Amino acid sequence: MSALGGLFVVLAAWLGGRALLPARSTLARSRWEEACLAWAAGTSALTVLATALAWLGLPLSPAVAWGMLGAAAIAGLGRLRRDRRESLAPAPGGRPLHLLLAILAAATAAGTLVFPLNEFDPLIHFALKGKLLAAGADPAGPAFTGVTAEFGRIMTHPNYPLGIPILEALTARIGGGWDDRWVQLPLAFWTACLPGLVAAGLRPWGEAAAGRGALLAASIPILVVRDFFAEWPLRLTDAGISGGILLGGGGDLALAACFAAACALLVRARRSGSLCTAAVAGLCLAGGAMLKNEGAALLAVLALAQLLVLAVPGPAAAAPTRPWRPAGVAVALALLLATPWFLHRSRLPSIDEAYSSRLTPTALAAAFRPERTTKEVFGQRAGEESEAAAGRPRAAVVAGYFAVEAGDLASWGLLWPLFLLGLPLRPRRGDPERRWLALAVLGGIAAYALVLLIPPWYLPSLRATGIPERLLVHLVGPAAMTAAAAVGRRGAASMA
Amino acid sequence: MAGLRLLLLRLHTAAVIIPLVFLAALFVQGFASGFTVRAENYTPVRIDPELAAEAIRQGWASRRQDPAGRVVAFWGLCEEDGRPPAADAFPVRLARALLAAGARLQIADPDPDGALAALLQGGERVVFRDDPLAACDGATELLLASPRPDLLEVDLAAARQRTSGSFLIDCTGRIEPGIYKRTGFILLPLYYVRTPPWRDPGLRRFIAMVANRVPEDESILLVPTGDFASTSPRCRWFLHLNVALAPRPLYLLGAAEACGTAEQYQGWVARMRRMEPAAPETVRRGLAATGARWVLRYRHEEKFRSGEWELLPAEEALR
Repeated sequence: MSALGGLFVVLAAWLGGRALLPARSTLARSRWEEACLAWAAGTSALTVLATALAWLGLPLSPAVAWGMLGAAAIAGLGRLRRDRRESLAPAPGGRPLHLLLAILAAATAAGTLVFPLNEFDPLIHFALKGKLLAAGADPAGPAFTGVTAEFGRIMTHPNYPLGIPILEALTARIGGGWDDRWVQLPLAFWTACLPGLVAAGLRPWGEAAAGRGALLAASIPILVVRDFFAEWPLRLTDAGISGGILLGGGGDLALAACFAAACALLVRARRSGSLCTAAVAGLCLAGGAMLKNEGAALLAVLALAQLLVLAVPGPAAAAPTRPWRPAGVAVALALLLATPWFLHRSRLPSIDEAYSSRLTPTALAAAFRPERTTKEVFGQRAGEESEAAAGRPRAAVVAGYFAVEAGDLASWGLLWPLFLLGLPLRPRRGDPERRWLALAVLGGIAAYALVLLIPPWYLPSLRATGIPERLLVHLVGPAAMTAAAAVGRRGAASMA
Repeated sequence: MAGLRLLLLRLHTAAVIIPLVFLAALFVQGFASGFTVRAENYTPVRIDPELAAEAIRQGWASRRQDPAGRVVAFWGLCEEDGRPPAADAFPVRLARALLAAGARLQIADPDPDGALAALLQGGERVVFRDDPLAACDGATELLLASPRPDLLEVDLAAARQRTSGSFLIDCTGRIEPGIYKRTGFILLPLYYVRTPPWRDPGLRRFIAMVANRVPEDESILLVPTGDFASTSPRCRWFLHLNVALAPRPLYLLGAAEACGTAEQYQGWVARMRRMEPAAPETVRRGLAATGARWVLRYRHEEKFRSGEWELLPAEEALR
């Protein structure tokens, strides 16, 4: 039954997203781009709404779940009927690209469901909360707040966003029970969507750029798996069970998709002046903040990038008319929609990742001094002191991690060299969209690097869990857009 | 520049082969295993030999032991059929790294023609013995570098008697805990076990039994037992029980610390070592504070052993 529940959640999310998208005459798109944008907008809307209801004290009861999904489906069906009168833009790229994207989309969606949930973070951090929500637990009640008692109720990261658990819980609610495989159904389409989202954002640079962007995004291995080629000979029998797979119940791809959608829609909104498009971009930004903590940081980074580009507007010919309006609408709406989550979060206990309180000048200064840290090494007895980080300053270790990742072809292909080559180096002369996209990526990297300087974690252990590459995944959308826009910019006569 | 970008983009698209190969392997693996994950699909994986040697060296340093005074009985340098190993084989690199750290080695393989000595280049700090037990004579540590069947069959109790130190360094993941514990060795595991703890078949059977006995609206007080000697994350059985048994409320003494960062978790282990969480008074206090109807005693150690776990009704646990 959970499979049917998952299918209904997927359908309702997609229909809800369709209802939210601006008219095709306002936001030109192909059918495939439309499906991807609708998926990101629909899942964002569901998570934003369910989080707001949780803040208001309404647990995810069957009535709430059916009500939300039913409303989304009905709104979407009405929209489908109205949309028959409006035509779609042709899909960018040729038939080989379409075939490749179709194969990857089908294979990644099916690949997500090959095994039940089987990774630490998806199980321990997300599925527990999903099970509790599916059982009707109050997100402000003892199940989520009781961990700090002397005999506490067990929960890791009690103040993590509830987006992934909400999508899983909806599936379990509608499907009649929790199933470790089928609750992943609404989480199976992030990778499939990313090329379409990138293409939608690149339309102002022409169809060729959009096609190249889609191809670039589709060819990034880490959107499926990281470090698969790290061991030789390849351990093919470990595929999907030995870690490294990003598909499934984690939040990184989800945030990547929502942030890519927000960036794509904001490019289009700034170019067309459509506030409706900007509003959907804001919704996706808020959705990102509901799906992973880093979504809130990326919201701030995007706002800052917009401010910087508005402060240095560039040549009048390249600048859109009154770009501050769509940017302002997107950021303001994102903040408004994310406010219930921030308020709810303030009621939840913070037991570990209190980064803001650790971000002090003393802690930052310490990151530039050689580090000594206590760490159990490979099962040695507790309390032994290790200098496995080789006594290097933490800042140097972090910089090294990012540099190594940028050059890891087996995880990223040539995305990062292409991004670097696509950076607009003359701020006053370049196209403002490429500038803020690049700033969003660079700002995101800087924010993540800063956070890695002060975490309460042992850095080499964090590295083993896929940091910072799992963080860099969040920036794939704007990075691919920056890179592909530069590749296709000769044919950008049709900027519109 | 535009041409270079286009060229790089075309080269980049070749990377699509990686997800395609992975997805193909994933489907084959899924089909072969009936689309479920089984514990036997996983195999222990050795860590980097240089890292292993570094971990051993750090252990000596933390115990203020001079590497020059350490004598490692080294089992498993040669191949299974007695052939000399390749120069870049795991045991050779590990042996060289230990020699570089300053230790002496007693290799449990004969070296009639001096080929192994030439390979290791340890001079007088390396000696070769004809049998594994002889290699233990006077050794301060025993190290198993290779899962050779002939070595796994050696009587570890006899090896322990002939070894002056108490550490058994296992780089293979093939030594059963029950076996080494009976011998008096302290195990230093230097391998990754990729089998996630939540896939342990014994744990899954135990969880099914608990789920069968405890209704979903009744809560359980988890009581860790044991000597709390290890701070390995694999001892965090409470996390896996909690997810598998949700929505049943599961309580634990000091849960916030136990669920926190590695540093917090290590602090929790140290606290549990001091305060005996299984003491009757502590359990009574926990039951009173939580209203739990059940007590689940589990062993704080890396391996799940059903014989040492028990689920009891609260009143029975207090008796």
